[in-house]
Amino acid sequence: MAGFLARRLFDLLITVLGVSTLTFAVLRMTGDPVDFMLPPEATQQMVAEMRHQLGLDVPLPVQYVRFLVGAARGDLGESFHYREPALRLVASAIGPTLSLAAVSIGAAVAIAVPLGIVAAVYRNTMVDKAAMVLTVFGQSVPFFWLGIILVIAFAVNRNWLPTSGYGSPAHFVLPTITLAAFALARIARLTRSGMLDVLGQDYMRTARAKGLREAVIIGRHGLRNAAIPILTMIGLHFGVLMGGAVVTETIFAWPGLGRLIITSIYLRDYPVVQAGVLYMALVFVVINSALDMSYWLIDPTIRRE
Amino acid sequence: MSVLVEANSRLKTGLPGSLAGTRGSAHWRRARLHWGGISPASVLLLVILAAVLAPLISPYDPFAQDIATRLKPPAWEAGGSWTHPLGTDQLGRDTYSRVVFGARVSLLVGFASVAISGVMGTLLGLLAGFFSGRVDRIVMRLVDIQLAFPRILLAVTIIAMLGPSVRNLVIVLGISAWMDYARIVRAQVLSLREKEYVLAARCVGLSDSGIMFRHILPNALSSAIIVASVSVASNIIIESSLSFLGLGVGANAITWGTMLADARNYIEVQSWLATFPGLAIMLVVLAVNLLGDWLRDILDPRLRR
Repeated sequence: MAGFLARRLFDLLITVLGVSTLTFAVLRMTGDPVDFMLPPEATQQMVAEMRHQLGLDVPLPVQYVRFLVGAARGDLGESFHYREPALRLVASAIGPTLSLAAVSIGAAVAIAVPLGIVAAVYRNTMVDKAAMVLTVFGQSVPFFWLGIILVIAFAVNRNWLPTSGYGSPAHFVLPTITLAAFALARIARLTRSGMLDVLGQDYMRTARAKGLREAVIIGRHGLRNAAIPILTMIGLHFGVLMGGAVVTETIFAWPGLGRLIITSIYLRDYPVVQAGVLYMALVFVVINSALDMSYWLIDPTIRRE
Repeated sequence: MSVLVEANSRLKTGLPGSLAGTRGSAHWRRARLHWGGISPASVLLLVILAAVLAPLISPYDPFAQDIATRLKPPAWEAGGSWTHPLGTDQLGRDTYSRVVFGARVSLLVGFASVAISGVMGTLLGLLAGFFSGRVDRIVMRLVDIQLAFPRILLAVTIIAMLGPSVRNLVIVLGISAWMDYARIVRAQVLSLREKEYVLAARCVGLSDSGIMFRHILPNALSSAIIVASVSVASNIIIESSLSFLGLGVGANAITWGTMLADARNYIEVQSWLATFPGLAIMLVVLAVNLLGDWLRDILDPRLRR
């Protein structure tokens, strides 16, 4: 077990290091940030001073080592554009992104899992067919278009909800629907197909023969056996949303991570992008490990291996 | 990544309720398989035809501006006329012609990028599964790194380096989506290489590459095809969202995503501008998704009873 964990931790480190290195390299191929910061009539000397100030005048390998050493110490540099620590900028964007991700995934799961179960239990009835038609549409709607349509329907024409910004619970409604629709459709379909597979198993008949209540049969014997792919799907969607939903945040002017990273990419604000991507890589790695752990908790056969 | 879970569930559990679980006769089951494929396939074929024949079936040059007839509503709304059946945009360009031409980019990007990532991922997955050990660990680490690396950063970088064009967008989407294929093909190969016929091939003295490409690859291909069907749909959506953000194919190409981006400024009054490109995306993605469901039913041997 200890060997497994050590190996796992090593893999995680390699992943995070790999992502940071790739980001470092890729960013430096996009162009010189100084071009974006100085007016076109800037003199050679001004450019040179600026490059020195930003630490861009040393050779790339030195820059890379400085970046790594700083990152190991928790110092990811200062934003070229905002002149603030990059880490602080990223940290302040995590709140809005995290809350939107949590609300969206929470809403999607709260609807999708019961819907999937009901569709599987009452398969080939009208309920099932309606659920499947709805979810196949939900899977196919381009989410950013859904966002625009929602804005037209509820905010522009009727003025019921705010179209953009962040703050009150009302601000959450439209972005949440935009983000939850796709996840909801995916999770509901997966729950249905997983449950259908489980419902035909012998142990379900046994549970029924034992005279267990239907809720226990479906919940403890059914759902638990179908849980792993469903949890994986939920975890992956959550991970993607935690990294910031660039398009949705843009449509609704949400002050989240996706928007911060994309504007920083445009401005060639290396430290902010590096900090943001590093955070995203960590989230990815943590969620993957949490998923692995949850398999271990749910499925005793995995524990025995 | 969620594509992987989806494809996995399609592979493992299928959708037994619609086929295996019903009591219907074999005839009905076959008919259902038949029509389940024919209807979405014919929709898709129609769209492909429209894309190919775009100059013949569109009444106007999609770039032709006519300020005198700008922002005309669709024919059935007050103030609209059949000279512009779906109305015109802010520069007086014919919406119907632009929607027809937009199909070209969407389909091209959707399918071409899947071809790139499919070949890349399948080969890497084949190598990882067949040789296991060190090769496997390296490939799986690469998978994790690429998964944790934000696709949008890669998109901006490549577009910044090579310039915006359809070809470059295909490259971006192609090289950033190989991971699902690698994972699922690897998993298939891991079980396939223990099969008797592989052992037999080895005993006859077939080389590694002979076994890999002649005996294992054909059997692992169906799972790659299922992943491909899911990613065509998601790539079409990603293409349109990148174009929507202005990161796509540049100002000279017509895409549904850029049409939506233009429409955003006019949604308060001219809401139809956002309706048609969105509907077009949804129609294509829906057809691809349904075709994917059908493919899974055909390719999953467990359902072929």
